[in-house]
Amino acid sequence: MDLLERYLQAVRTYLPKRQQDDIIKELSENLRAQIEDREAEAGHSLSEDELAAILQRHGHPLLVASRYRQARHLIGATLFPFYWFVMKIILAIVGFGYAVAALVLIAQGKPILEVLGALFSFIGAVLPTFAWVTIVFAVLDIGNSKFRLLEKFTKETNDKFDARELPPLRTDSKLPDAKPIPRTKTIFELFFNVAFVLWWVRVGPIRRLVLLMTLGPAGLSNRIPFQLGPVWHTLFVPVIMLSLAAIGQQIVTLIHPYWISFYSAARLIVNGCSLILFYFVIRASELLVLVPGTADAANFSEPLRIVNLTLHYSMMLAAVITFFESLKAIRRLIRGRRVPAMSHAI
Amino acid sequence: MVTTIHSELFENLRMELRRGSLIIAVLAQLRTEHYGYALRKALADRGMEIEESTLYPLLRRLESQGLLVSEWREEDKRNKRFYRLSENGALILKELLEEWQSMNSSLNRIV
Repeated sequence: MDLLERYLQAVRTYLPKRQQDDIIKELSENLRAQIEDREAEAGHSLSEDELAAILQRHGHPLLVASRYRQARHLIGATLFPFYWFVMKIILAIVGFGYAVAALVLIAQGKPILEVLGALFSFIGAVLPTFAWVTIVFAVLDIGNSKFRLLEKFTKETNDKFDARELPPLRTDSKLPDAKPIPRTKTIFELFFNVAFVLWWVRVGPIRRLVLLMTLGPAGLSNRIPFQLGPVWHTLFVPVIMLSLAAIGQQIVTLIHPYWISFYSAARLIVNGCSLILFYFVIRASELLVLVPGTADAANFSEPLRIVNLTLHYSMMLAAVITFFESLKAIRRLIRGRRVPAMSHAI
Repeated sequence: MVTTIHSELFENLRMELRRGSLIIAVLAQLRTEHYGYALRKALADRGMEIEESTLYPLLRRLESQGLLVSEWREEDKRNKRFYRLSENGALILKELLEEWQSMNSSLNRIV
């Protein structure tokens, strides 16, 4: 029976302190009864192996003890939807704050690394926010399980609910294919467009932006004797106009995510205009040129050729992506028009 | 892989289906007083096998919910904890049995 005592001792370790004696006493009696039963069947005392087999069937001490514990959770199923809803709102507010801070830094002409640092510090702010919201809701959950406050609240809300007071169907939501444009997607696009415009306007000579994009941080060094080709100066204003148009569309989409037709049409126009700009950029013979009067111009001709080639291919790739985006917008527009006709036919 | 997922899914659903039925079986069996191991044997004799590690904690939970009452008593020179259905437990069992029968007959009509 030494094995049984050792087993019970192991189970005891994992049990809640207040219940240890009671549970072990009962479990001990049940196991002893089972062992005696088996001995009566076998007609002899059980060997250690036979006893071990009984205990093994009964289960690992940790597992056995865990069954006596009540299931625990930090935030229960009742409160979880509220928790998740609040969490999303608070994280959105924090994210908005950081996005605005980053835009301010861009507008001030701060270095890109400083702007990126400000954006990435959002991740550092997310964890404490997540922890605090979780702690608050965990405390609320304890209160709720004791006083059943939410149960009363949901019962009252449910009693007051009248389906006839629900808002009318949104026009576009009658179309099976018309899913709203996700607001998170629009917010990201809006942020990057605003950041781009601020940058495009702010960065004194635009060359810094393009040089940075093509050569990395080295592009900002004054030792690189490249400057923008004439095509960029021609396109300076059209790029701003196009970006502002995209920002306008994104603001409207943010407010009315169900305006699918508007979204598709606006995207089509902006993408179409972008393709025209790409046409001029790709056609230009040199996107970057050597700064006039560069002393050792011959040394830079090969690097300049490589940079220009890379830029050309990048622009071509961007144009292809924009072209396919335009096709998607056209398909969306056509589907949006066809679906009501089909539903009438049915 | 598909077989494993299938069997896991089946096992989960089977456990879900069994969970409620086990409670009815335990409550019904405890219309007569039993201690833990004897109850397990009685249920097994009627075709309802339950693991000890499931049954014993379940008895304590049902007691804490007021559906069972228990007392320590000596039997065969051993102290054992005997459980039986409480008055409240009997009422709940009656309602559960009605619900189970109604569900059973509905299911029979459906499948």
